[in-house]
Amino acid sequence: MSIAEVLPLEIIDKTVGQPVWVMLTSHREFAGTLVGYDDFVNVVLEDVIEYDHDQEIKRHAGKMLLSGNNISMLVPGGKRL
Amino acid sequence: MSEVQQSKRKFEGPKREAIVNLSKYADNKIRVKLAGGRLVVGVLKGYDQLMNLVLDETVEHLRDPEDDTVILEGQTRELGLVVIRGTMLLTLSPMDGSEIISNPHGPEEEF
Amino acid sequence: MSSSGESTTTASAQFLSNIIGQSVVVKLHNGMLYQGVLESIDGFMNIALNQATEHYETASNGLLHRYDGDVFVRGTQVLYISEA
Repeated sequence: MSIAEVLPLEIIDKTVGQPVWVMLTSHREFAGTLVGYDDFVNVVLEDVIEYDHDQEIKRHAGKMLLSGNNISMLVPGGKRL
Repeated sequence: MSEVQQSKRKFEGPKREAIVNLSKYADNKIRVKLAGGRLVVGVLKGYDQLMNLVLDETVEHLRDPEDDTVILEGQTRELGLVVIRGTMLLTLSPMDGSEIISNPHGPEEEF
Repeated sequence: MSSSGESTTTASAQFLSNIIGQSVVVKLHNGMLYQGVLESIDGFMNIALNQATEHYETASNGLLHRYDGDVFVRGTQVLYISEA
């Protein structure tokens, strides 16, 4: 088995402490600072803006645990506006 | 009895290898469909056994807000470097060797 | 594979243990939003809230229900839990 150059979880690990943009399977998205994650890629975020269909829904000042159940993509660097 | 169990174990095999070898797509443009209907195209930079992917220069194809199943032709947004969860991966295919055709089920065109 | 060297507990477990007894908001996959005091939570994200209010999507969307006692929320339906 050949070894891939970049491991996905390594990228996520390097994003800890930095802005991240999390997309769910639905049209919902979350942009915030990545505090941490676990083996299921449940994700803890801070200072989050929640979007649906690209419309801002809600701002969350503190920390948030986002269930990994419906996360389809993570984009290091945060949401591009 | 223990022999049966042993041979059964041997049949199931200890190692599981992925049925697709993604290394042949490394640094190639691939098209990925995700559970829920998102469609992204990007350059494969990495992956793991769980089929989590790293794509670069990723673009997401936008969909009709009225109907999620309809991909809006030519309407994309740039995502750059992304990590895709293997749990949400539906299909993966290389971009070269495939082409986009007009909708064969659409209204008939005049010649 | 663990995210940080200093501890073996995951970020999610740490977060959960830190917010017990605090005011939280919980959103479900169907968009329902519950705000209340977090009584307890388990590893499946099953959640018990006290003095919860129920709204759709955001608290600005009008109160749908007020629960004076406990509300139990099934973990499989939880989208997120956030500090209020």
